[in-house]
Amino acid sequence: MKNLLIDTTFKRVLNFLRTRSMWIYNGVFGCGCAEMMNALNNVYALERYGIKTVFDPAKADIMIAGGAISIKALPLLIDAYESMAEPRWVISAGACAINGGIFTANGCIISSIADFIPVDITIDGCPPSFDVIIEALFKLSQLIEKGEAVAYKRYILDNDWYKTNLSRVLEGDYE
Amino acid sequence: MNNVAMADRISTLWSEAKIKPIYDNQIEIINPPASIEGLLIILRSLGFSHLSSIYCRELPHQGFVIIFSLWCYSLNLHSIVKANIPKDKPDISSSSAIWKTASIYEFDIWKEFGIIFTGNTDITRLAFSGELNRDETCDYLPEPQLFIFGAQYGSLLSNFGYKIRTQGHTVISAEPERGYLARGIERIAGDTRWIAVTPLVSRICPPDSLHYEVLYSLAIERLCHIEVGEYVSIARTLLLEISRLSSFMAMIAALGYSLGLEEIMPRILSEREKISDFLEWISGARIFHNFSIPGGIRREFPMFFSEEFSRLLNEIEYNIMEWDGIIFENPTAHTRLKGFAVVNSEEAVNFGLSGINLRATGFASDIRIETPYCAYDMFDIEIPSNSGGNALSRAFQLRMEYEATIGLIRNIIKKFARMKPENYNLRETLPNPLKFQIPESDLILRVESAFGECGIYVASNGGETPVRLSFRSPSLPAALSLAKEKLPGINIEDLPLWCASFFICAADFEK
Repeated sequence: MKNLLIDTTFKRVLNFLRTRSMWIYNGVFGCGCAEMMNALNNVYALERYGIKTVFDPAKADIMIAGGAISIKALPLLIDAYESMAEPRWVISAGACAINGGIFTANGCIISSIADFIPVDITIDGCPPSFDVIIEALFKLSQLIEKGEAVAYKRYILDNDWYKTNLSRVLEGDYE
Repeated sequence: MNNVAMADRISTLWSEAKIKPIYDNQIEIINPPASIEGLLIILRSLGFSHLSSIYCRELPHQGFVIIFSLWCYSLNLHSIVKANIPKDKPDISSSSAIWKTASIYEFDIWKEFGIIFTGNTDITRLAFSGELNRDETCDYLPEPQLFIFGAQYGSLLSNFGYKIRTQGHTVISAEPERGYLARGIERIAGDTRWIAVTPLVSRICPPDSLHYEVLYSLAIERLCHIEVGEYVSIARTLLLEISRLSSFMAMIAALGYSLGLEEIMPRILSEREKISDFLEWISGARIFHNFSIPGGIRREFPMFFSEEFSRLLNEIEYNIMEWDGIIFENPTAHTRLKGFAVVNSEEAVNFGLSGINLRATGFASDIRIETPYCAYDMFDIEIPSNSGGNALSRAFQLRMEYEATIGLIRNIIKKFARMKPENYNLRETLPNPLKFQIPESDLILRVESAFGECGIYVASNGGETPVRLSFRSPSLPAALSLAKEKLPGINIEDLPLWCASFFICAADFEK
């Protein structure tokens, strides 16, 4: 199992190339991504680092899942994640994606997206500021280059656990 | 005619109700639920043509209160019709035959409280209604297809969608698909202390959060009979207009993006970035400011704010010609928008449209002038006029209001720069926030946000938390009720443009 979680030398070369063209699928599930729009403007010009947004998750390398995710939107999140090609990375943005945030008291908001898809980096904030988002993207690119951002492998290894959580939510047996 | 004369006139026409004029221009009418339909028809014929919203409140051990908020454009009067419904028999006749947009409000109340509106067809139909009549289709046409358009669809720019049935490229029926963003703000507010509700309220609509904050503060001040000072009023007015300008930029970006003119989005957002920086300088936060609280504002504006912001305004005004070149004078945009998504003013009033969408049909109406709040009565507000009611006239209306807002901010800054914060009271003294109680009462207030009319209904039973807090969303009529009627017939590739041309922000009705 340990071998599965460590990238080989050849894969590290590929990883180096991947960090030069990181395409983002911007999963706007709530106001957690309110600042994502600002991070992509001409002032910060993320495209000079090869970072750009695409609207098809199948073409994306990174998903930024931000905001309060309701039970109705959860299957969309899982669908988007499963349609991304491997290797795939997830940044969960905002207090609501981490633990439900200010809307914890509401029963139809899930408490943490890490129970349903493996997350590489979490960013705090309500909503996370644009500079934190940019910093997280650079941090992720460092992790990818070192071959340490391998959370997506857990989705295959622990697939049963993730699927059980999902079915519990959809059947109404989730706290 | 003022509200006292109007109350007399209604009481001569309708004897069953208890009618009394209350503060400002409001009339409160309490009517038994059985005969509510007759009263509403009379009010409609008297000129109360705009159904602002329908609110509902639960009374413990007694039943429910249904509250209709009606507005008369010709006389600037606001009537609040209440009907008490017993708990054992929660039904009332539907008003969807009088106002088309009523059906969607009734649907929401039925979902939340279980009140049955007899005669509302929306309530009996839970799933997407049915099969296409096969006789109407010809053999050579392609098979009708049903699919869900939206919620995480890139070009829709909002977290909601439509279930549409298409034949070839043409939409033949559409049903809003919502609930992806159900954060339950109104429900959570019921368990939260009065002061702690402020951050919740500002999270309703991220692009225009300041309007909700100020609306809540105004409502609480009215309930507690607190009068804020001149500095606070003008500071709030300035903040609201800055927020309006920033929202207009987001609206221009969304419109240009849906037209395929993608270069406008990063460019106008870099302009919006500067405004966000200024708001951060004032309040310490970029999106949810939490700056206006019941009783006043948190702190004074920074030194040299007026000078610095005036400099930014010059830059913003100079850049209008750039947006003109990209979108407003672009032949591509004209060809695409002209004659598209037409709404005449009669339909617009019937569906409850407000703000830019209403004014672009030639119907001049602005809450800032009709019932001035904050310090709007101190300034001359110019409402640009336009007619046509199609997507192009709405785009032009946006362009003209963008320019008018810059002028209004200049006027406010001129007055604001002369005021010294040390001479004024920034915050009225409130009791201990943990023991803060509000006397038993309820009220409805309205403000004009960038997207249209925002309303609030607050009810208190004398306790430490609100009994009921409910909001009227500016985008709801266009997105949920107008869409059902107007989307059939358009091409499927025009659907994102249809949403952008009505400036729909899903977050404010998915609350």
